[in-house]
Amino acid sequence: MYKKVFCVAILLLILAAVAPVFAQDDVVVRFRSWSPVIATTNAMIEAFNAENPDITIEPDITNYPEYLVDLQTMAAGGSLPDLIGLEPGALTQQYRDHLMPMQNCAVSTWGEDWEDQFFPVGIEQARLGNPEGDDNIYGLPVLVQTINMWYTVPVYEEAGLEPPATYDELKEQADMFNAQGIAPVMIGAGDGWIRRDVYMQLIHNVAPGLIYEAEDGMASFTDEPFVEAMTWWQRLFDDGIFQMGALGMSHYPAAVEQIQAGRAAMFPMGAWWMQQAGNPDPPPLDENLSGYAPFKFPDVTGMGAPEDLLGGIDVMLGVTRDSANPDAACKVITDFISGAGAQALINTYNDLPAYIGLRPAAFGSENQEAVWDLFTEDWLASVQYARQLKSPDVKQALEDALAAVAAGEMTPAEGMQLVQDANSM
Amino acid sequence: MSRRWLIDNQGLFFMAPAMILFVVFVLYPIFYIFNASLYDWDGVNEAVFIGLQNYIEMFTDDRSFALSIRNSLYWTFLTIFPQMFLGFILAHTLTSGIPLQNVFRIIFFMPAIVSPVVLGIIWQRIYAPFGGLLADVGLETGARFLIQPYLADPKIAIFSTIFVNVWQWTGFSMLMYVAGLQGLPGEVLSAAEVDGAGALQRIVYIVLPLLRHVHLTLILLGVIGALQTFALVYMLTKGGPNHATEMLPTYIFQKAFTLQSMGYASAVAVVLLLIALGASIFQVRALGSRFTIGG
Amino acid sequence: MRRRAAKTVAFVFVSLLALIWLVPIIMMLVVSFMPPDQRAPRFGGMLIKGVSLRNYVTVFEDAEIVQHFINSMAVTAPSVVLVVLISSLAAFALARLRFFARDIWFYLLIMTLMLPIPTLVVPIFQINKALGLNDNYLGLILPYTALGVPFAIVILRSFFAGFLREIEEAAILDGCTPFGIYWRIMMPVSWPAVAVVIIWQFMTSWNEFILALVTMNSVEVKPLTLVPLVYSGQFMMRPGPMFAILTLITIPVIVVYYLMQRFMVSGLTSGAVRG
Repeated sequence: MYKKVFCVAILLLILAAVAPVFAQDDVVVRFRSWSPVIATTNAMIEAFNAENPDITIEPDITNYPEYLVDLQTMAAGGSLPDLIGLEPGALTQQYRDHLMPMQNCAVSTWGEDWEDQFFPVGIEQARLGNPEGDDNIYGLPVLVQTINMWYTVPVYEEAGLEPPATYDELKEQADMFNAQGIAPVMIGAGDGWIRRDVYMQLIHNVAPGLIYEAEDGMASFTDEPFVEAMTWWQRLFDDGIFQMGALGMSHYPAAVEQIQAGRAAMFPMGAWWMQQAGNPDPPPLDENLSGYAPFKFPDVTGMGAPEDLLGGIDVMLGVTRDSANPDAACKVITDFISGAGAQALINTYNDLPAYIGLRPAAFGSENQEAVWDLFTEDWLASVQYARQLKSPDVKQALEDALAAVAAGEMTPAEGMQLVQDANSM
Repeated sequence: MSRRWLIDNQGLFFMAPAMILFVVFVLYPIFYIFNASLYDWDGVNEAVFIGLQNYIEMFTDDRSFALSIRNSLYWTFLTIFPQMFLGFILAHTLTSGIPLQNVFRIIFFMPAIVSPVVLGIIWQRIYAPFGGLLADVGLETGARFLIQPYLADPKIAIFSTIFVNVWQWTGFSMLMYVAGLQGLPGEVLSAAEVDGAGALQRIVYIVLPLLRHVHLTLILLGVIGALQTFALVYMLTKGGPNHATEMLPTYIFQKAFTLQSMGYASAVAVVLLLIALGASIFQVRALGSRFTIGG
Repeated sequence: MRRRAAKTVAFVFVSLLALIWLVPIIMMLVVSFMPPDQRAPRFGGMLIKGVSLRNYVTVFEDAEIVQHFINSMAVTAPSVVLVVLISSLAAFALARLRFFARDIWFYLLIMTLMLPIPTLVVPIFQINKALGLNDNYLGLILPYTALGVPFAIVILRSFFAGFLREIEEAAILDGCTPFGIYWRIMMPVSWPAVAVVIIWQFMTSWNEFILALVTMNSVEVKPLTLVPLVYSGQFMMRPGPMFAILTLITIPVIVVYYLMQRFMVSGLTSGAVRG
């Protein structure tokens, strides 16, 4: 009995040692990212290979938080893949030393005036956080986005209402929806990023652009406007604008499931919400995006909210310095941005293209097309400020402070002090 | 080294594989984290020596660290004793010859073998205050106390998390007690019965003391479990809200792999290591080396 | 009479408790059978309209679930066998042989009984890097084995220590070497204790999370525990396939436990008798 078991085990052990050996015949480009999802990535690769059969792309797509862990460990282990997905700002800066400047690749593909072929915000943010004098672009933008609010169309039709434009309207509608057992604003505030997204929109309402000055030390996070925005954040919880227990819920998947089931009147999200229509087996509201429409964050202060939205790059791609085939990697990236791969990507409505002029091959409904046009022609052009922050420490502190204030463990002023402390470190 | 010495010490050959693994994957790593804890290091770029700075910050100005120490204590006591208590009651009931007792044993044990990752995802749906199982049962039956922000309120989130852990591991305590009870000499119990001892007296004065080794084993495993806890918290709350459910392992992970402070994470790991060693020494002193199953 | 009444009460009480106990598991199954275009926003998903197997089909089509299963096996099985081999050798030596610094080694080993894996994540990652074992099954097998050995030694050592000296002496007279005593005499009758070690090591290796998370970076080598995370971006918005994955991850451990459970209780019992 023992003998048999041990023989099998030793066999397994040997297998284990030799298993991860990969066949390598022609040019291989290893690609890792959290976005686009694997099904979309495979479609993009297929489209790319139809024209470039000599390059093999090996994709590896993981969920965002675990992608960061993988990236970190691979960088430390000196085994970064050729092509990696990046966010502008903190994430790109962290890996800057491992990334190649992309300008040459861009010029050789799109010509000298290549920057004009992208939405300006994409180019601007690609350099976000670069040190003085470093004008290199370490990642080329693939998808861009805005952050905004959405509402559930049938819920509003039934109520005979329009989405709110001021805080008073928001509060009034919230009371009504609460009484019906519908979440007025559904948020999974257990996730730090969505807390931050909402706060960024609040501070943008109170004092546009100020937070970026504070990041650079030209203003303090303890200044009055920041505390005021934080106070609004607190009120969204205290006034029952957000659904009960929001702080213990994840935005994905918990809040999303409720939204898809039609139990949310409004929800904070971004342009990427359009991708719901491209998912397999969509529930009725998702189908052709028939159930949702975007609107701008209500003017909570009542002093007149700025016209522009926050946004920027959703995902960009960079080539690592260790890449054995930088030319092939460049070919893949540029195809994913403006070629057949890009078209396959856009066809899933994953998010807005960074490269101007791409359009999905087909829309399923008029609403869907109208939403697309609103984003690409109107809202995206007005984006001035980033959704992201530069420093990971400030980002973490802000997310912590938002949770603490929402939980009633800190006053808004104390919360902002926490952020300021993180910034001055 | 003479031939004679080798023959006298041939036990070393038996020990060798264990020793080698021990040195490479335990001793060296311990040395490593002590060293790394003295640096400011992001894991990718050059490390800078900063002496005890990480420790000073940790003990003077780190609320998350303080919370994770507090939570580890909560976790240790609020897991071990409830699950021993419940586990014993279940074991006692399920060795008394009621129908289907083997089936029940399997049912109660089942959560212990399911991955905490899986359980975390499921329990989120049970706890969700909007559309969750408990909340909706409360809403429909009028038992409104069931509608709570279980994972959202920093004051109760840690207890909600611990509750899941108790649910998961009670079956394990039960099984250990079942084994213990089955191993008890039957004469002792029947003698007590003849003496006219009541059921409760019999349990308190005779059965429980005889199960001393089981209690101690469960305490040992409970402490290990509390210090190891990662996956369940990571999946349920990620340590939030506002670090209210932070445990030392989740804090180490966050520092090391999301905030890229490998040096600081190592310093936290050193503290965790010292606590674990302290607990080990305490166990060994209290119980000698004969402290687990079959000791 | 009173006794029977008491038993009935106990049975009813236990049945109810067992039902409540199973709710999370039932929920996992229910949601996994939900038709894919449905969402179950109330009662945590316990109420679904209709039953569908589509989620399982989706998972097998879109996720390399079999590959992940093989990965888990390729990590767990060798670590279980290595732990049994290495710890039984060491436990035999510690229980039966004399050698240099025996007690010191034993105390060192039990110290690490309590060693939480998260403390060692960073250094083990660096060791694996140095040995080229990241993204390799061995990068998990070796640490799991190293960390599982102390607990197994404690269990096996006390089992071996309980053997009668006379049998051993008789074997020595017959010309048996220490290894022969270990392999031919002790091991064959140690099944109960070995079974406990196997189950324990299987459970801990199969469900281990944090080390797997940082060691296995490529999707094709990730074990089953990481699968919910790997695919959450893809499936998270679709609770059906997600819960089908959870169910599929859980089935193997339940099967293993079911097959081994009689050994588990007898192993624990025989140990407890000695206690």
